[in-house]
Amino acid sequence: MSLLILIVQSMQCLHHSTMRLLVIALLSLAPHHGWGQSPPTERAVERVFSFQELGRDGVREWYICSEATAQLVDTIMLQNMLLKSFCCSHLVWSFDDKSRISVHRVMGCQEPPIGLVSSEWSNLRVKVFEQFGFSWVSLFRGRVPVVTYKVLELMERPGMGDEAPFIGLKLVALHPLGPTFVQ
Amino acid sequence: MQRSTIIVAGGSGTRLGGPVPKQFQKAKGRPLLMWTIEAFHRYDPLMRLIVVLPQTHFEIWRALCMGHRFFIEHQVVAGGEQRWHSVKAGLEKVQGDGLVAVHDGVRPLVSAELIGRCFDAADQHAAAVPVVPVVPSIRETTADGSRALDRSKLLAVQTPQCFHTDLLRRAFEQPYDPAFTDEAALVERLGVKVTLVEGEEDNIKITTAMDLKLAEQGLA
Repeated sequence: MSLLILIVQSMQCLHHSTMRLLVIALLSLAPHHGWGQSPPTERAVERVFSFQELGRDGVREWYICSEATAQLVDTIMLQNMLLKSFCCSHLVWSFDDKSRISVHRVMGCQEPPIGLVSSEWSNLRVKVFEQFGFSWVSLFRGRVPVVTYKVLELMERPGMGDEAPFIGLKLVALHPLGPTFVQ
Repeated sequence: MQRSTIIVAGGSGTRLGGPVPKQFQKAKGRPLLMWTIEAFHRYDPLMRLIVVLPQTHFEIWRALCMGHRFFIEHQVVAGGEQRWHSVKAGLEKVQGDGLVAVHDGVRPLVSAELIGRCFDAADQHAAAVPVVPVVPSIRETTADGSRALDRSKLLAVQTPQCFHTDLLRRAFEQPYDPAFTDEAALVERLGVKVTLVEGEEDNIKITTAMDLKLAEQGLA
């Protein structure tokens, strides 16, 4: 497996968007194979290591907690922006096979001032598949699919100087995620 | 027929210990309320879920959902002073007709079978509630002491309580009565008979630390 280093782009707020976008960012030191404008293949998607999530309120941003962790091949630590002040969510990813990314553990806050967010691990599984000519990404808790994303487009930026090339996926959730608060 | 569920989690009770409201207490690593929401999502992933929380708990719940990566779609509305006000607030967000269930946020062990039984009975009879036999001996206090009640004639009421949506709306058009106990009693005041459905012993309302231990054993 190629050595991968992750970076996270700065986020754009989607103040009026009703869509929630999940942007998967990947920076690879391995020889870059451009994906062009065609949908990603499973083989391409399986190399995705981390993602950022753009919510309707623009706050569902995740980023890497530590550079040391980012250097690991199949382990990343992501931090949710809303929880930035006191909390860090950790994901550990690995690949079961060529078509599946597994999220083995998800951790909430270790020292939350409000004492509520779990510091224990729970399980999520991410499955990437192709259907109806599109690529899809589903998150499962156990056998229950909790959300499915459709791959909308690829983002690609060539490397400049010492900067490695950036490749990303822009996804859209089929349904809004989690809670919607009504005042 | 369109189905909706109102999950009432307006309590701030801390009998389980610590400052954490009981709906946010963890069982098997997740808040009880998440288990409850997931139970209804498993029964019908397309069902509309409305969770009633105190406004002061909104940000906590938002953080919990993000921390636990809880993605099941649900609408959160602010509750009121009493359960009556909270259910009414949730009911105002139910769209259209069809069937509506009202469920306690701290009954995470409800099974898909029980949810289905209650909805089916409500579909047929307009109002249905799950009940279980009363196990302990019950005594009623009287002016000169107490007397034993015939427990074979008593039943303990659980949730989900299911209704035709328009019927429950009419029930909540009645003025607020501090003696309000549950939605079924409110519907009965309209002269509508409430059908009893066989409940489940496991479908406990988690109130004490012992309840929480039992829930830990029962959650998958």
